[in-house]
Amino acid sequence: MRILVVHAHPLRESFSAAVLASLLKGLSAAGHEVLVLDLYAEGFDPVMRAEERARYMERGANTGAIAEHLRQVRWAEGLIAVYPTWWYGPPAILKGWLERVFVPHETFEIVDAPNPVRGLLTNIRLLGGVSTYGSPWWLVRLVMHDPGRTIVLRGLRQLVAKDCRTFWLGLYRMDTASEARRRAFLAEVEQRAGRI
Amino acid sequence: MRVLYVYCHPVPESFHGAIRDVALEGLRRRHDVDLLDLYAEGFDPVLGAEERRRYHDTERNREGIEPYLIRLRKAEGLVVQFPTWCFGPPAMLKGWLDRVIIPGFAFDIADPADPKSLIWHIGKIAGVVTYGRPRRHAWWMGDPPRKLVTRYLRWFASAKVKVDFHALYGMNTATAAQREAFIAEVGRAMGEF
Repeated sequence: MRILVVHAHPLRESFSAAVLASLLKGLSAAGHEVLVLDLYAEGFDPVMRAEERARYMERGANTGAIAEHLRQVRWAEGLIAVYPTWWYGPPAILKGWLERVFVPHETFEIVDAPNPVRGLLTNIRLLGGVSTYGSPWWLVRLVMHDPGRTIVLRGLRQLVAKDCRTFWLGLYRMDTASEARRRAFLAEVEQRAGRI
Repeated sequence: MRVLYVYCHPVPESFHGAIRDVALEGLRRRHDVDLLDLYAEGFDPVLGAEERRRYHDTERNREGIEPYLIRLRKAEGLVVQFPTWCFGPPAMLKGWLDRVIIPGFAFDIADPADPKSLIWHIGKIAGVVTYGRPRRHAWWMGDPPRKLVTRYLRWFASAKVKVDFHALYGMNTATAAQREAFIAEVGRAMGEF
């Protein structure tokens, strides 16, 4: 399947980069066609400015600056986000990508129905994410409800194919994780990607 | 008291601009207000490679960001105002948190298992937030904007902190009267902040 992997960490030597490498290894072993969107390497600008905001709802006029990103999202059958969780959410660069690319009329329509969102990205049949967290899982999940995970698995979920499958992998309490626990996580990521 | 008002919206003539004007008018009657308009000041929300490399180096991680740290250090009250975009705070505001809430300044993780706040001088917090969709949708999504204010920011403040959250849900279908009522509510609350 065609998979778009979105990565958001500024450092090549980071653990997040190692997570990405493990994911890609698994995906390639399973024979998928993968496109990596490295937001930092690309120098993506996450700021939606006044002009763009003003034409956000306007059909045909709200895709100017992000047309290429939209094309990648439409090409994909699977979308996987890889990022470190900073302050209970994705880094600003990834948050901005979500805000600027998933625009109305292109990725969803607002309709007059009990569920007002009609997804247009029916090409996407797989949504997933891999993230690292400084906090313990109970704080991330039970207290803060993991906004990054929720945006992908519940928010984007409304925009994609009805029978879309989902997965999420998290390494919690990352700052106190032993070398062994980190290695085990990388192995888990590779193995999970290989089963896609 | 000294209040840092963090404002995040790109369009000056927007509904948010109107809310901000009324809020500032209310606050300034009794407080010394520092308006941090992230868009107008051209804040860069991207935590870059160099900055990330020295993030845990408490001697060097303030470089380039000092003016913003000083403004937060002076604050005894904190107000954040933003629209909900893609279920959470705009990237601009998220990036302010990413870059300003750093170790050695805002918190101490010398013992990672027992982090401590270093900006406990904040004794009062308010959030002023709009949502496009109705509250039940925000609830289903875990309502990240509300948790950002009432749980995340609260953690950093003093134990006795007072936290208020002013929300207008369902902006997409709100009537002019509902909008006016929200502006009035915020103005009143800021007058009593």
